[in-house]
Amino acid sequence: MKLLVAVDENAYSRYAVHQAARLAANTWPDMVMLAIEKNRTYVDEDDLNPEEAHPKIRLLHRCRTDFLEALGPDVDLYGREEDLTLAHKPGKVLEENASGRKSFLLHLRHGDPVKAITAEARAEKSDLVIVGCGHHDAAWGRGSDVPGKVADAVECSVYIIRENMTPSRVVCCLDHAHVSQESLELINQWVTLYGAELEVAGVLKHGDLRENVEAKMTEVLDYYLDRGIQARVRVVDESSLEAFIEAGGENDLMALWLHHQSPLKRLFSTSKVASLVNHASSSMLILR
Amino acid sequence: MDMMKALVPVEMTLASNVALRYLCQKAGLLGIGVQPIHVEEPDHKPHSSETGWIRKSWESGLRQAGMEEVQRVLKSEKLDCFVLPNPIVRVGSREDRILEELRMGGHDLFVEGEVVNFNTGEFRKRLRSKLYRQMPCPALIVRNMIQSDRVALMLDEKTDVEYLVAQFCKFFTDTGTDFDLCAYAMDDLHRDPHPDELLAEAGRILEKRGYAPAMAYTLLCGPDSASQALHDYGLLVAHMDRKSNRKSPLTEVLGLVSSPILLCW
Repeated sequence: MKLLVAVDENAYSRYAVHQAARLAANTWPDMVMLAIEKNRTYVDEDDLNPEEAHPKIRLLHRCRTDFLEALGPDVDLYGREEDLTLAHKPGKVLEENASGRKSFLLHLRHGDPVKAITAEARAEKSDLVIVGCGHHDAAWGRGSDVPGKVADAVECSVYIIRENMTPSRVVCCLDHAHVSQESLELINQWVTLYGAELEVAGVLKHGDLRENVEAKMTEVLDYYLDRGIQARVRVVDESSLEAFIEAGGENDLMALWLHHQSPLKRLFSTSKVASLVNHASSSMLILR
Repeated sequence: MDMMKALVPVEMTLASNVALRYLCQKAGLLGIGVQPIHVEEPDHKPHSSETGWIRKSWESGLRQAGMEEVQRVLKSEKLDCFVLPNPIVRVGSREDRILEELRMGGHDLFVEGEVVNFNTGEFRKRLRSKLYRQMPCPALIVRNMIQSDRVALMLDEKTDVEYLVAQFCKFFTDTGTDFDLCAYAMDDLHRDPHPDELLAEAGRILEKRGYAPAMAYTLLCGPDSASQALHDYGLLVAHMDRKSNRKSPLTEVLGLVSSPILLCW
């Protein structure tokens, strides 16, 4: 698995880094930690030391330290050296390589945060992007509603983590039968890490649960029950789905399987996914 | 005492699958045997209006298909509770055939799976259906397989407490059953009877029969919060007045809650 954690200076990013470390301790992913800086206006950056020329490098160093501390001293997956060298990579990316047994890259991009995160996820072929965000708005970095736009724009799964929320229930909305094994395992990870309950909500189309969705729900239920995870099932009308997701409380993690064949994909146009993610009270996991 | 018999529709659906598994998991708690029933509903194609041997052989074909489906489901579920060996297979309207079997077969309980809906309209529709309005025994609606054996006896101002307790004692013959008594209301202003009086009355009747709840409490909140508060229970037992079609706050709670519910009427 390849995990991308996008960070800014706010406390929610530190929280997201901690959660990423919990996942990393279980799944041993290749890591990329990304910070985004303003477009550089100065020309002679070679005259400055890297931390002065790129202050966000300090942020990345702090996040990396937090991440390694959260992993614990016994987890020997990533490099722990302090002196890293900043190198220019194609695509205007600045990189420090902190890899150990598993790859760990600190990346610095500049420009618009949404475009930078999307480009990074694509370039690194990430499986999951983790972005922290505040409780009542989704301001991130310098832009407003960045998490929502990222959730909509990237091609892989995205987890928008609201600060200091430990979900006691993970609610997965399912409206199609193309659930990948990776997404099932990812949910399994979060349910186990949070000690949360799992609820699978099937989406009804015109009042009916389509046969293939029903069969998939049975499979998903069996998959989790076989692993000793108490999963519950529920259905929700397509027309009430938005209200259902918005009704997710602060202790919920709402997960949406947005496969390209998913009617949800049509139901939630670009602005709706962004708006749902930005305005929900719960943390959101978009599975692709 | 003879083992109680529960009539359970067996179909290739998630709801039916959940109901069967839950029932077997709780067979010890409830002390019941499972009588599977399957109803093949004829389509409206011309062959169904044929008469004589054509109709007979068409119906027996449907019955055969139904029997195969039941056997397939029962085999795949590998149930370890007591399942009566001869599943009942009928052809016709599901509601009518089940109602007929409940009336004729002397079953103690009807058990059906239902996947709980965010919109409680479906639950109300179920309660208004001919089957639910006319069935001669209590109904257990199973929404999820819940491990917990905790039971809650639900009361509201419309509950016939005497009747509910009698039904409860019929199903839970062990006086040591772990159960709570819960009086639900949106608020306790001008409630007649007041939730505390309901709890006291139920407590008295239960005591006379030798039962003691582990906990007796009042739940005062909206249906959403109440359904959340109740979700750890493995079973909710409630009384429902089938003559009254009025939507009550307790019906809303029962419509939303993800635990199985035993409706006594």
